[in-house]
Amino acid sequence: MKSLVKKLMSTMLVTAMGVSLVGCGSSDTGNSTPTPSQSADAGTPATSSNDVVEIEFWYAWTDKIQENNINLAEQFNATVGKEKGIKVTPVYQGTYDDVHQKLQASFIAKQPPALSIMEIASTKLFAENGIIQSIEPFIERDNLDVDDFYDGLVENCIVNGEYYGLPYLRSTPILYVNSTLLEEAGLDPAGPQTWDELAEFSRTINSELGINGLTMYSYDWVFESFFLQHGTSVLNADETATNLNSEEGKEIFTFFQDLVNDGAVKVYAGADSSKVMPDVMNQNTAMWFSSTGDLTNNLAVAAENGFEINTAFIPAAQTYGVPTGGGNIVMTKGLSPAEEEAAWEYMKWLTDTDQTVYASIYTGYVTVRESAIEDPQIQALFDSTPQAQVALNQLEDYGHGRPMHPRYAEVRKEFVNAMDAIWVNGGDVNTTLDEIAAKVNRILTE
Amino acid sequence: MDIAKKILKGIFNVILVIIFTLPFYWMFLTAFKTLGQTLKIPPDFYVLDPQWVNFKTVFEKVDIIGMTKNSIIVTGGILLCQAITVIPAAYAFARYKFVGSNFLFGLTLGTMMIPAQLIFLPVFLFLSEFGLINTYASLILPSASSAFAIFMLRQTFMQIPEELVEAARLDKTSELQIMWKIMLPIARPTVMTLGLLTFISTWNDYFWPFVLTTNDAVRTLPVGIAGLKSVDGAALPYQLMMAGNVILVIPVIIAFMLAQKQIISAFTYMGEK
Repeated sequence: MKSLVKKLMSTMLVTAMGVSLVGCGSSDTGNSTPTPSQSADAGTPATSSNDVVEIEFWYAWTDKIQENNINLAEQFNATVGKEKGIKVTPVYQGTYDDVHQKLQASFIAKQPPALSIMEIASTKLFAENGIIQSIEPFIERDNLDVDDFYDGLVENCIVNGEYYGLPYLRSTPILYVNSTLLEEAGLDPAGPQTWDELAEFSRTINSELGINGLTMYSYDWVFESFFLQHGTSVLNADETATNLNSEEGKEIFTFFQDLVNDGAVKVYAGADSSKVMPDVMNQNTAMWFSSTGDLTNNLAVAAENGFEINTAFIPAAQTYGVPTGGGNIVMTKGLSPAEEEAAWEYMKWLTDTDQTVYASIYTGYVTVRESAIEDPQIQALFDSTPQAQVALNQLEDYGHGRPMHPRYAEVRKEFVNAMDAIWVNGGDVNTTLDEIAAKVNRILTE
Repeated sequence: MDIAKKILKGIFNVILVIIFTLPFYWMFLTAFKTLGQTLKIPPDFYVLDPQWVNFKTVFEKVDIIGMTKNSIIVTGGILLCQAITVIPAAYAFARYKFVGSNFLFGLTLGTMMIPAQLIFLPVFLFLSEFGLINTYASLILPSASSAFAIFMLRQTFMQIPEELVEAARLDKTSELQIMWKIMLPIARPTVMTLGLLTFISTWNDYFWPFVLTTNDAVRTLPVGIAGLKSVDGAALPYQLMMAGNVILVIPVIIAFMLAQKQIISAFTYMGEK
């Protein structure tokens, strides 16, 4: 009930913001032309007497991620920042959705922060609405080695051929297995490698141990990986139609529907995502999908309950394949030249090898630069926690971006509806998919 | 027959009490569990080894002292502002007939029907024009009056016999004094109830303090507590969220216990009238 109210509320928020954004877009073209000085005093932080440029960096999430953001800003302010006269203040703003909404509001109020975290699938929406700016000129000027970023992470930074952000706190989904249970069922504790094995493992676990082989919930992010594993994607290449009701789509839905019907796989509705962890914890399931960022937590849960965890690539259908997720760091539009320089300096520093190593070890997100793998601290981590390496290997060879359509947020909800309808409520594959695909195509082309 | 009725009534009361206290019991209980215990199926209804450390962790993760201070200032400010704006408005609507009074009253009631989600952006822009974002004023001003409170108090004022007011007027009592010395003491149950309702809704309010702030300077306790569940993907730390909630609701429970006696006695008085 509460989550329904919350959902309704956030939907209303998004709609309200969308409406106001459209209105603002047109009025802003008349507004932004005057003088650069106007935009300079528009940004809240002004240069103080000692010529220190103060900028804000808005971020999402608390806990380890918050601590990481604060620690890194402090390190920067004490070193590079001190040298160059830059002071970065990280400010917490809630979830990714909260950050996005507040960014829009602050843009309209002409008080945006210089830097912000941004959920990767939203980059295009904000770039096209003129809220964040292209950092292409800075990259070219400083010859930033963008090739060192993993390909799968960079896709969602680029809009119309230009960089609008750099990968910062990024992740991919992986398969977690309770290897203790797998061994008990007489299976390979490394986990299944292919979809056929996934089905076989699930059925064996269910018949041997009487628990769910695999527990998951209607999760659009993991859902994207199923399509990538079939050599396709949830949307077509130019994002004008969905592949939901394609041959592959129907195969995916039928595959899991059969397993659900046999009791080998348990799927919870999208709204019940929090029910997966209790199943893991109480050893009521042997396999589950989750973000690489959850590794530390999952290991702790396993230790507390006396079982072992392995990680594996999400099994391959025709190939392996996963989307990437998480947040990029972006620069807002309308900053003074000094603020732009300061913001760029921080972006560049934050996504450099040493910092991505720090952030990865501290939070569990992946390292965004390939060069980080040679870092002795990362090597030490792989030695002590080999499960962490799986994510990077998967990312390196099989990582992809996410769809960037400005209305993808709505599309994702429809995907969740499709999964709920078929896997949770036993709906018919063909009719449900045709119906929802038509809806999605309408959203994409409207 | 009578005994059977009493027993039935007793059972009914016990069920009611359980329904109302169970969520609170669950909150306190979860606050003292480990993460593992919170996810256990079947759940435990008792804790043998209370985890006081949860509270320590909450204090480390959230600036409880600073945010409580903010909550007190904002809640106090709103209560004060509403006392100043609501009581005279209710008195005027109840006792004066002036041109457009019905229209104005309708307009006041109309504001109750506009959802906050619809107006928060204009309010945000308006406050930011005046440079008030991230100040206490930005959290107090939008709630400085309350249509609901005006309506409730007006209804109470209207029930007070006209003779009382007329007698006072004959004694040359000023309107302000009539309002303050005669109307208000009689309307005390309503005032107390409204005060408590405003206190609870303001103290617990998450939406306004969250959307109207862009940094931690004036954020209130609910925003801080909500941050405890803002972890990306990982298992929700239920034990910390509930420990935070315990800290959050203790003042509300105390306020209710203090006001409870007054409210009950006041309502009894109303009934006997």
